[in-house]
Amino acid sequence: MSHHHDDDEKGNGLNRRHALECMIWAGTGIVWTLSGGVPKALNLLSEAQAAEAVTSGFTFLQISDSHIGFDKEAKVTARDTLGEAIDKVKALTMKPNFMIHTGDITHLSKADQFDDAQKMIGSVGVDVHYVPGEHDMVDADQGKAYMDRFGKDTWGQGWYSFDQNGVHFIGLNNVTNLKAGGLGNLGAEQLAWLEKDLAGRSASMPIVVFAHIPLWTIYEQWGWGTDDSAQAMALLKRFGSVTVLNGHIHQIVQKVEGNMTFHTARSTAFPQPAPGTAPAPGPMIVPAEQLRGMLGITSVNYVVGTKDLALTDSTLA
Amino acid sequence: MSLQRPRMHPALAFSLATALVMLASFTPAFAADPTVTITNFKFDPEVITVAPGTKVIFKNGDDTIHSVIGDDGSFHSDGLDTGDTYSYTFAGAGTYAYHCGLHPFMKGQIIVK
Repeated sequence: MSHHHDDDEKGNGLNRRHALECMIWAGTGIVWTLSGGVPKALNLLSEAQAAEAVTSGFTFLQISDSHIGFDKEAKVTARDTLGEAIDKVKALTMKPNFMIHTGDITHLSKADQFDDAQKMIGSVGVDVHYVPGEHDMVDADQGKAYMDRFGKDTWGQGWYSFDQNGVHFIGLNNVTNLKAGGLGNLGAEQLAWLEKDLAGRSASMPIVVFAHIPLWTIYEQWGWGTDDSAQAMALLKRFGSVTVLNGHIHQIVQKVEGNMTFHTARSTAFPQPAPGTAPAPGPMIVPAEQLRGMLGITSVNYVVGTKDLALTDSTLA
Repeated sequence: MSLQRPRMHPALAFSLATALVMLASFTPAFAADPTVTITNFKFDPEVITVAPGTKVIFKNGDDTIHSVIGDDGSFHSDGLDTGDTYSYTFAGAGTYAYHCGLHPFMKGQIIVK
């Protein structure tokens, strides 16, 4: 987040450097922590907040779009870059309490791709909470491969929730049974479950929702949104702090709306173009020596229709 | 000086013609199956019209994966990587709408009549 870094440039203390150290590899993941009971990306914090965060003892890490099996770059494959990301996670001075993976674990839902991803990500030695991306549901049985591995202790097509340090985490699936001409889709069954899951919870409990496809519309022409996300947001509206974490678009986009913060993560595998800057949202194939730099430099400044979306122009360079 | 073209016996000519007709009718591999190519997140052509019983080939020419899913769920491919193909034989007359299961804004139609 270069803007936030700029704001924090006045001091140059150890704490800030520590926070930056956590984020230095941020082309491949995001470290989240609790600040004043509210989830914040470490690099979004002021120096004092970062200092508190670093001692609060609770962080979690978001990793996304590892696309194991994508090997269009002969020299650098998705396995290579995920390996590098995991090495950086292991090198963090403060080990995350757990990780979430916001989908597209694999490129083609193949058993060996799931195996390798789980082995590499699991080597960090913390719990990993997965949600599926559409690339994880393209086996012959349209999702069985994912559900056999990750569907245990989940509802419906793999959605679930859990509590950690007073924060309620909700993992959703918005990638199955996508309708022709539509966007991501939660479906009536999942929304009914969500309503039940939230019922009776105190509005002061911080909520983190994570799913693969963005739960707000970033660019409809490329399917970067979820048809029925408004219904989910209506259920979440009464809570004082809601953080929505997504992947899918391989670049950081952030929006703040009332008590809700929306954030998308970069991919560990390959960059995708900013909305509308290319004919299609396919992978940006770049020379091997430029790949890592490309993973870290995408920013978005998108205007839909005549109404500005409050997106944060975010780079981690 | 002129070369005399050898004349084909009428019966032979008839059986050759019959054989060619039979080849055309019963070994469709000799004719190119209609192919829908996926390029830049589009089915091309988006709409094609074929006769009942025609096998249609879908080929992914993009750098990322796609799939072919009948809107009514009656047919579907696995994930198609770059260069992969999927084929389906459309038996009965009708309009078969389909989309990509990963990128449902990609739509196409096979009209069978």
